[in-house]
Amino acid sequence: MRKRMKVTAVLLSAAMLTGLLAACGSQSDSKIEDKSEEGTQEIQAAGENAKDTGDDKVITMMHFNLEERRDEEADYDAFYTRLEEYQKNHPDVTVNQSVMEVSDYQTKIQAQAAVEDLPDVFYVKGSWFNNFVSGDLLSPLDEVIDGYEKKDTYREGIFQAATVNDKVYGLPTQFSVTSLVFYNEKLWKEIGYDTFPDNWDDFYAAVEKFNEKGITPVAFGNKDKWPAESCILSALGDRYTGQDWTASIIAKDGGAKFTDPEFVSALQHMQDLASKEVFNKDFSTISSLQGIEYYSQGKAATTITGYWDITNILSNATDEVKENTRVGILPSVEGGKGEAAMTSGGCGWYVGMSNNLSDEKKALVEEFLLEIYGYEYSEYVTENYGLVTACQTAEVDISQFPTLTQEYLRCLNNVNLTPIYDILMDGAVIEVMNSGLQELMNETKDAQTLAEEIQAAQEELLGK
Amino acid sequence: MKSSLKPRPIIFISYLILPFLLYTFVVFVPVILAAYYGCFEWAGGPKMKFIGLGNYAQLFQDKEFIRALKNNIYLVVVCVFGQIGFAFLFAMMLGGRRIRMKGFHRTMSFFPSVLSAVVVGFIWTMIYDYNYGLFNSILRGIGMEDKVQPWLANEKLALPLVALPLIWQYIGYYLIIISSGMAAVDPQIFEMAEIDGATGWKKARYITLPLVKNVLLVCVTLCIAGNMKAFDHIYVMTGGGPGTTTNVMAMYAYNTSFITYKMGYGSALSIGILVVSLILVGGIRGIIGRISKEKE
Repeated sequence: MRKRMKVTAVLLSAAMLTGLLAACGSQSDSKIEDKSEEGTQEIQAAGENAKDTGDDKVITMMHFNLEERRDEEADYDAFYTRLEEYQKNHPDVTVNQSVMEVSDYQTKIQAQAAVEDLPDVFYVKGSWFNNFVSGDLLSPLDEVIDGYEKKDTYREGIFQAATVNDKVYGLPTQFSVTSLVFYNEKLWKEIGYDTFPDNWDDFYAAVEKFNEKGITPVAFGNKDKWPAESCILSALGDRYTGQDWTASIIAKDGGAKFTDPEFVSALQHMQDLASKEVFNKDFSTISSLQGIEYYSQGKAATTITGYWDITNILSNATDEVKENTRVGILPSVEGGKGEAAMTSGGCGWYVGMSNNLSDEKKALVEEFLLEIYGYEYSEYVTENYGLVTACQTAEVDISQFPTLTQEYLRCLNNVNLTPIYDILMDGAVIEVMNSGLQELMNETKDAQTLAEEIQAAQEELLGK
Repeated sequence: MKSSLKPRPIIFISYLILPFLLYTFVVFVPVILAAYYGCFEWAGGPKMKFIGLGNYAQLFQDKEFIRALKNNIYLVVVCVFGQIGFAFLFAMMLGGRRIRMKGFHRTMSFFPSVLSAVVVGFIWTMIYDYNYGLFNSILRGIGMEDKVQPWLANEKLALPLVALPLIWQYIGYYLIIISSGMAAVDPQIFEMAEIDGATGWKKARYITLPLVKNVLLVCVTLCIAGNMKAFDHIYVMTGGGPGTTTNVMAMYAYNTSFITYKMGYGSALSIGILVVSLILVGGIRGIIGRISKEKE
């Protein structure tokens, strides 16, 4: 008996140890952490001479602009360029950064917010503002913006998601268009279409022709659940419901409902897309990036994604695909309440300031925010990447940019923007919508049931 | 004599105090805090609204939680039979005299359990891949084109398919535990049994199984505990999809806390997982103990 006990004890403690080790192991991303710490040290060193003056000016900041991806992301590059400039002008200020990958960032900042241990400056997703503001975590920036000499250059509506009770709590860090159609003009011409169709009947006819030829009509990856909602439904939904409906849902005034027939039709449309074999068969098991890859390799005629994949396509697609890619928006819906020349867009990520700062510190941070994320940030992105930005910048000669970028700019000229669902609607509602869309498009749930489920999540919020 | 064998209490305590504190800090304190936070309606930040046991009451009506719980129980059942069953079988085979290179087999079968769950998840995602996956390649090769499909998108098969890598990965782990349990048994017993004509199935059922019963009990306990908190494989392979078909409790608690920002309810969920796991482990141990007692 004793021996048996001993064996059991040893085994159990071994198991516990493995458990502990496993737990330690899962705190991965040490690689990234290391890098960011190196970065931090570097920057700290730059501000070292500040110590001599006796001033102790430190700004702590948390974000996801990984320095190793600076070459691939226009916004990251703009951030570091502006930061270097700021360091040059303010050698007495030390900026302590904590940098990590965007999905890690979302988890970590939420956990830190929960225990009120936030850095001075941090990135805030549009849909978080209600929570953060009601938690008293963010400082209003209205006075800063009003006092900014270039405030008129900010695009209309860019502060929409960051506005709570008529006060603005964040500066935009990007200008995002989430629903764009990238299509291979050559492949479409082969089946007799000169441009991307502007109505769904023509579109479905084309889908049939592509499927007959063995070419995937639209490459798409929805494993991560958000692309169907962010890249398709945000724009398609507006075609059916119109903007008043969306505004009412966002305001949570109880006027509009997800069970309204227009929205149910939009959901039904999403299911039709799947059942009419518009996408590659494995769309719900592959990631968005894998989906774009089908398109980049020329295996698909079209893909639907956001502006962020322009750089992706430019660096990964074959030359032929790159040359033939044109940019458009989803076809319009006959009898829908929304306008045709609309697609979903706006700012998704803002930068905010902690509310837990002394007045002196606030002034320092406010200056920092304007110098980094002000007009010059936008100007840099426009001049170097040709992209549309949060501020209306001076015209640049677009012919110096790749064809795809020019196509994108040309497309945006004729299009107005409607709100992005996951940026402006509540996280709890979006979670139900995203999961549900996957089931809807897998044809295991019908549109009416899903609409009721989303509405239930929305009503739970109204009750509060 | 006595004092040299049994250390004085003060030495005993001083040796144990550090690990005890560490364990308290990383396990007990968070559990108690989670139970406390579970009593609040809390989206993070300073605003917390006390709602007593409201969150806990909601657990029982939450369809998603029940679904996730069912999935966890499915995983437990499949893995207890799959992992421990196969491990026992292989341990019997390795214990036999005809097998050569026993060390090699043991090492190789243990190998998957050293891999990170994320790596295993990715490997199996590639095996199930629609275009390049092993599964579909084999089906195409043997002319069953009509069965080719994006496997993980099939809501009826998704759960068994994610359970497969879990089973595969941990057979070796239990194999080692059971083998060591068998090695502790006096080999003369097996020899006697063989002389008496007990071979194959009979030897396993009437000789080996009762003798390693306690080790198996440990295995079952570990297996239940492990599968009640299953997360990483599924997170990598399906993210709970399609829809919420392969959602498990741990993933639901994570999503509730960090995607929908219901920190209070998320805490209540994790306490729910703890309670359900304890009941399950305790229940199974009780049942097995009673059955074996009745026999004696």
